[in-house]
Amino acid sequence: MIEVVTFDTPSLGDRSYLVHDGHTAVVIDPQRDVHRFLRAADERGIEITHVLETHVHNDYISGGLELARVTGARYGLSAADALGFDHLPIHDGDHVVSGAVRLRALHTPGHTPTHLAYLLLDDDDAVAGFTGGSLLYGAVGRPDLISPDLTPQLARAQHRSANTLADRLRADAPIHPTHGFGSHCASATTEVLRDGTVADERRRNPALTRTEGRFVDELLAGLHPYPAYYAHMGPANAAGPPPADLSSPPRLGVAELRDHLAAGHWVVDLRSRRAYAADHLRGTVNVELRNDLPTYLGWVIPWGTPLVVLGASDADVRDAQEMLARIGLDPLAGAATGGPDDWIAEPTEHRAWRVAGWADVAEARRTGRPMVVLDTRERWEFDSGHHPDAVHVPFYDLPQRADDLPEGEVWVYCATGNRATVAASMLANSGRAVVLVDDFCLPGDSPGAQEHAATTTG
Amino acid sequence: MSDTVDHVLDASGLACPMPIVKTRMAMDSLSSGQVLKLLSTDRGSCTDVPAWTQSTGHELLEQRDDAGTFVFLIRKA
Repeated sequence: MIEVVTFDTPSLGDRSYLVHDGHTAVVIDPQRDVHRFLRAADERGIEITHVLETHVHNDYISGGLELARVTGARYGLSAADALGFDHLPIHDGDHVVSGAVRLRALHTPGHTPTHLAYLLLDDDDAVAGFTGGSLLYGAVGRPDLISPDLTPQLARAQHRSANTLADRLRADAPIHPTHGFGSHCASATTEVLRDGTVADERRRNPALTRTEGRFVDELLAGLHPYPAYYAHMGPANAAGPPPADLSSPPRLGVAELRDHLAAGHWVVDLRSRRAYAADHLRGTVNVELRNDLPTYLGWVIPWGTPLVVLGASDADVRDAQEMLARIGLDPLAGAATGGPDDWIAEPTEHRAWRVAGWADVAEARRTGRPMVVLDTRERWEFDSGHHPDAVHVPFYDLPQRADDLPEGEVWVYCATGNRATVAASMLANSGRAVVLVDDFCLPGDSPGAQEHAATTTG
Repeated sequence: MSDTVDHVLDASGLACPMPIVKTRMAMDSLSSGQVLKLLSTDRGSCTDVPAWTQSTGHELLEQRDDAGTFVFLIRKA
């Protein structure tokens, strides 16, 4: 009896898998916090004999090399990848056997040129598919992470790979993708897809329901920007990443925090945007401790900048440390816990700003005060509807484009407020006066449009 | 009034703003007085969901942490 154990990593929208027969196991696409896989194997009393990657990942630092090292397992990756460490080179058609677990590799280019899927075999039947970034639930892995030149041909290859997978697998075979959970690009339905068989995908997956030409056009038109940190993941994974450094970071006092800021290091306050707005250390950046933390921080921090975190508690610092290590933001240069009074000595180092809602924006506009309404969401969100006066700069472009903003107090918004606080803190650090609009502007909303029409026509 | 759940939305694993976007879609499909049960694994939902119900006038009947899954019961206004 073969069991598939699924490991969700919601902060990245990824899954890893452990496939075992009760005695030995294969782990596929492990995240960097390898203790999760070691614990699962220990609990079941099984030995991990193989660690496999479907591809050299571009959205996180792999735990594969480390997991193979500590377990003595063979570490298998595509034979076509240039890698800086010893590994088991896997070719299309190769079999990986661990006890009763038999997997056959299938070259499925698209997400990357050398991508492999692994088909779980029962005799000659392919009864489940580990599809990595090929065939996802209702979607496919994006083809634009390698290079703009390759994107169109990878999109076409993705269509062929998805169809090959669907043809090779039994209709009732579950697919187990690595990517695709919690994507911003999720379809506009209330449905959230968490599982599926080949038959399900034949009904709902554009790669299987559309012609290649139409599929490619739609896929390329629907690609949104991806986080800047992605650029650093592929090279690190190909070189062979070191184990995550989750050692307790140095605990810093007020003078050391000041020294880190003076040295140009990033000091990130993990508290809620409301608590941060009320009082914080001048020069810090606010990225709330929530699932988006690695994505948002990885998108804006200049890569390689030493990082200090400020959290309300030790538990918050530990949670952040683990989430950030998954994208290689480790080790932390330091940490401090408590609140602003623990982090600030001089009264002039306190900073605060107003928190507003859409009613306050309308009131401020009526009084004619010089203000900039700044929309920090992604382009597709802005295009779906926005405040009529809004200037649009995605939060991740602000470090480069802060000087492009008109004069005046900057009233910063996003969809919910949590990207806006990242943006507001970066703008304040470049000398702007800011107000945090902690209110909603969900896709399709146009807050302030009615008052705008009233003022311009009446 | 009973707290019978009329619709369940599992937004586990979704990144901001999708839990709120999906919640709004789900609420749009309900009638006044009906109750949505929302599940989320993002601790950001603990502040976003109450703020959203307050801004829309829906009633947040219950909010609890169920072993790492945040559960919300929302009655449509």
